[in-house]
Amino acid sequence: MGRLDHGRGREAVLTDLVAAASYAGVVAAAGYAAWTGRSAEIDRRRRGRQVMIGGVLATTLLAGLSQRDLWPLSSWSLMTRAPRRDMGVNPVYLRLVAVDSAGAEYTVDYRAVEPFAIEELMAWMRAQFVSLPRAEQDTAARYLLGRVNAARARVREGRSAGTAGVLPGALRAPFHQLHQRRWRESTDLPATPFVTLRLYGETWDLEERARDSTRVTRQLLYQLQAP
Amino acid sequence: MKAWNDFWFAPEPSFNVRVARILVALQALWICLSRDYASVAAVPGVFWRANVSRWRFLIVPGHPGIEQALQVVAVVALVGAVVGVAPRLCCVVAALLLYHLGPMETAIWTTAPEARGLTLAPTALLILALASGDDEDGWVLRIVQVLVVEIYLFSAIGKLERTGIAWGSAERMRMWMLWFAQDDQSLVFTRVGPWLARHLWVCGVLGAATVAMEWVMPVMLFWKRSRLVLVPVALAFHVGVLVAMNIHVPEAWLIIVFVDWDSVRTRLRRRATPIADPVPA
Repeated sequence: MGRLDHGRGREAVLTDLVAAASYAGVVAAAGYAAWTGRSAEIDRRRRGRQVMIGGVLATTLLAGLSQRDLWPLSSWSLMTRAPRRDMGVNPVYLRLVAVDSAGAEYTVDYRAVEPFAIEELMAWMRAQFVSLPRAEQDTAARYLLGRVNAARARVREGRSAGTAGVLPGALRAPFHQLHQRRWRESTDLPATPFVTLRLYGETWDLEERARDSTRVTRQLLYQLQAP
Repeated sequence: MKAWNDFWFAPEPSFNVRVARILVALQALWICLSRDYASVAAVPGVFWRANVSRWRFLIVPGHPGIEQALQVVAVVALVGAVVGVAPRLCCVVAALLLYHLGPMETAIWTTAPEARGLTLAPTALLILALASGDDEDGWVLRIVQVLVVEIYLFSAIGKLERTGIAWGSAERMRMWMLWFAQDDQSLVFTRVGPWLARHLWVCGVLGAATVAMEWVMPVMLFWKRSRLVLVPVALAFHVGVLVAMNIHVPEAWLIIVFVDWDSVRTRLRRRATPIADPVPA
C-alpha cells in the first residue's frame, strides 16, 4: 500500500510538472508569435504562428489523448465512466444538515456554504474531511456552521442566502451542478441560530428508489455540537 | 504542407475574430462576476491541506486582499477585451490572471476545474491577443475553434477509453438519468430526467446520438456547411443535459464561435437598408 501511494504521489508530481511546463510553453509560443508578428516578412510572421499552432495542438492533444488533465489544457473527461446502480457506495453520497435548538433538521442550502461551491465542498469532504483527526474536523465544521448561520440570518432578514459575486441572483453563473434554492423565505428557517451540524452518508439502489422514493439508507458520519 | 497552410491561413473576416474575442471574454466575465475568489483564499488552513498541486497556479491561501485585487484587475481586463480598449494587452492580462483565479473554485480538492467556466479562457485569450485586426487572423479563430471542438472529441475519447463502445447503451443512459433524477440536492429541473428514464428506447437514441455527435464535431473545422446543423445540435444537446441532468458546462456555450458572424451582420444590414426597386424605364 505504501509503495502504491508513493507511486501515485510521484505520478501526481510528474503530471503537475508536465502541466505547468505545457502552459508555460503555450505562453512562450504566444510571446514568440507576437514578436515575429511585427515583422514585415510574411515568412517570418508565419513561422511564429506555426510555432503557436503547433504548441497549442501538441499540448492539448497530449492532455486529451492521454486523458491526463493538464488544466487549463484539459482532458475534458466529462461523464466518461459508467454509472453504478448502488448509489452512494463509491463515491460516498454526502448530505450536510443543520439542526436548530428544537432538534429540527434543515438540509443546507447550496448558497449557505459560499464561497465554496457545494459540490466542491462535498468532494473535499469525501476525499479529506472524513479521514481528518477529530480536532481538525471540528475546526472545519465550526467554520461551516458559522457560514450556515450567517446565511440563516440573511434569509431571516429578507436577503439572499448567498453573497458570492456581484451579479443579481438570476444572472449569476450556475455552478457545474444546478442546485435548488431551499432557503427562500424567512419562514423556511428557524428564528434562532443552528446549534448542530451533521454530515450524513446516504446509500440507495437506483432501481429500488425509482419505484419507491423513500428507499434510502442514511448513516450519521459526523456531528458538531455548538457549545 | 500546402493543405496545412491552406487550412490554418485561409482568409477570415476580421469581424469573426473580434466576435470570438468578445464571446470568450464575456463568458469568462460572467463567471468572474459570479464568484468570490477572495473569500476562498480566506477559508481556514484545514481546507487547504490536501491540495499539493496549487503551486503551479501560484495559489497561496491567506491573502484575500491580494486575490480581490487580482479579481478586480481580471474583470477590468475582460471588460477591455469585450469593448476593444487595448484588446491585445487586456487579453494577455486576463488570460494570465484567469490561469491563477480559475482553479480557486475547486482548489480545496483539485486544481483541474474543467467545466467550471474558466477552462478555455486562459488559453483562448492568449491566442486572441495575437490577432492583428486584418484578414490574416483566420488562424487565430481556427485555434480557438479547435479548443472548443476538443471538448467533445476528448470527452468521446475518455468514454471509449474508460467505459468502451457501450457507453451510450440504452441501459447505461437510463442509469445516468436515474442517478441525476434521484440526487435530490441537485434537482432544479425535475420532470425531463425521470420521463426519459421511463422510456428505454429514448435513452438508447440519446446515448447513440451523444456518442455520434461527440465524434462528429471536429468535422465542423473542415466543412463549413456542417456548422449549420452541428451548432444548433450542440446547443440543443447542452440545453437537454441542463434540463435532464441538471449539469451545466459553461464553456460549451462558446460553440457559437463557429457562427459566421460577418455573414449575419451583412444580412442584418441588408434587411435594415432594403434596396429600392429599380425605376422602370
